[in-house]
Amino acid sequence: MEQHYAIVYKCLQNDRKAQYELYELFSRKMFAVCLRYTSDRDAATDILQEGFVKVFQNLSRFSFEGSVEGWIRRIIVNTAIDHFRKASKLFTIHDLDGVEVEDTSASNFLGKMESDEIIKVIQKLPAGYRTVLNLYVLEEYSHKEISAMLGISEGTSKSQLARAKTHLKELLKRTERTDSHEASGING
Amino acid sequence: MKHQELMDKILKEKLINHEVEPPSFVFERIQNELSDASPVIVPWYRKVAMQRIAAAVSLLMVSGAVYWLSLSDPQGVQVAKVANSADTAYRIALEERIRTLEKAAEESKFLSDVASVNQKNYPAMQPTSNGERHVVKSVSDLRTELNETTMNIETIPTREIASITGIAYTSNIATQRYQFSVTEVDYANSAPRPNGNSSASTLLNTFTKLSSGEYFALAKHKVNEFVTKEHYVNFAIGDVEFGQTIQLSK
Repeated sequence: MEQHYAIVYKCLQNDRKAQYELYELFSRKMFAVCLRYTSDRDAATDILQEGFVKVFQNLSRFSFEGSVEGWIRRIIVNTAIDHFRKASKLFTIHDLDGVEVEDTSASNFLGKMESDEIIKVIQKLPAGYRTVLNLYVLEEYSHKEISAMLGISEGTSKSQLARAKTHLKELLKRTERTDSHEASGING
Repeated sequence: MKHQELMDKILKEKLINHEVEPPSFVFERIQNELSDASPVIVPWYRKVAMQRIAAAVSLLMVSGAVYWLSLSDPQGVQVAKVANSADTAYRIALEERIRTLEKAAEESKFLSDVASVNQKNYPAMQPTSNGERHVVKSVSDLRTELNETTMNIETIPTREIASITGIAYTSNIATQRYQFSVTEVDYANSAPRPNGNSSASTLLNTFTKLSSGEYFALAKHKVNEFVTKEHYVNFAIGDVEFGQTIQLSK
């Protein structure tokens, strides 16, 4: 952590080399975060760029108390939220047919998937579902915090999460089916 | 573990520390955006405050420069008065004197001459009847005084002698070393005036008649005369023979 602080300190002195060092340290992890909040790679790239600009512009506000990564992650996540708050269709409710909530095959399949594949599935979720799922499951925000961040009620946050999970399972099942069809086609 | 919890766990494990290489051009774009960023808009009240602070700092700098000039240039006395800070002037004068004394103390000739001081040649250095020696303030004492001074110069009564500072080593009477630096002397009473005819001995006698407390008062009183009169008499026992008139500069 001290090492990261030293880099931040150099960045504060407009050291371009240090800025690159900081970017190199966290850009890959943050890009993965951006991909989870977006539907495609281009949008994720925009968020990463916008987020890191905010990071460098607001570095003087860093308190040198918590982890640098955590601080940067919060900025990136907030940038992603801002990005999609501008999009009006954030909380559209999507109808789902024939989904069994307690179907364990989804989690079994999820366990076998690569991280990049999971991200691709998450990217297929509607923006509102995807955002709440990310904030609640991966960033570990409470529904109260999510409601404040997104300007929605706690109830909406909860329902969005439930729908997100249901939708995710459905997408996983479809992906699994597609994969097995492709595999059998190749075999046959 | 519930199915939902299992899914959450798998998602966390697979995604929380996952890394993906971003496009190579991103950092360059970030840099461009940072360099193109519009300057921060400063609110009007902050601008006004900054301007006033800048003006105050400039004024202080000019005042400081005027002081230094006035101290090195006798003609600049009146300007020094403008600054209207006797305390500051006193501190500056004291700092200047300390530097002069330190420089003199470093000169090897002075030190070797001082080492050969003969006690009998300088009766003024003899202990008085009550065993007290007249010890001129040391450089370190002056420094302490400089650091501690908060004195209001206006409250100091006018003294006969405007200023006296010096260094002294009194651990052994045989190796006493003195340097006096006298700044504008105004001997209203019986004391001689250092007008070029004064001798080191008469000056020394005058000084040694003073108690250590008076020396202290003189040192503190220095500023009033220091900035208004520019006769300096510098001499060092050991450097010159007794009775010899030493440097008198204007």
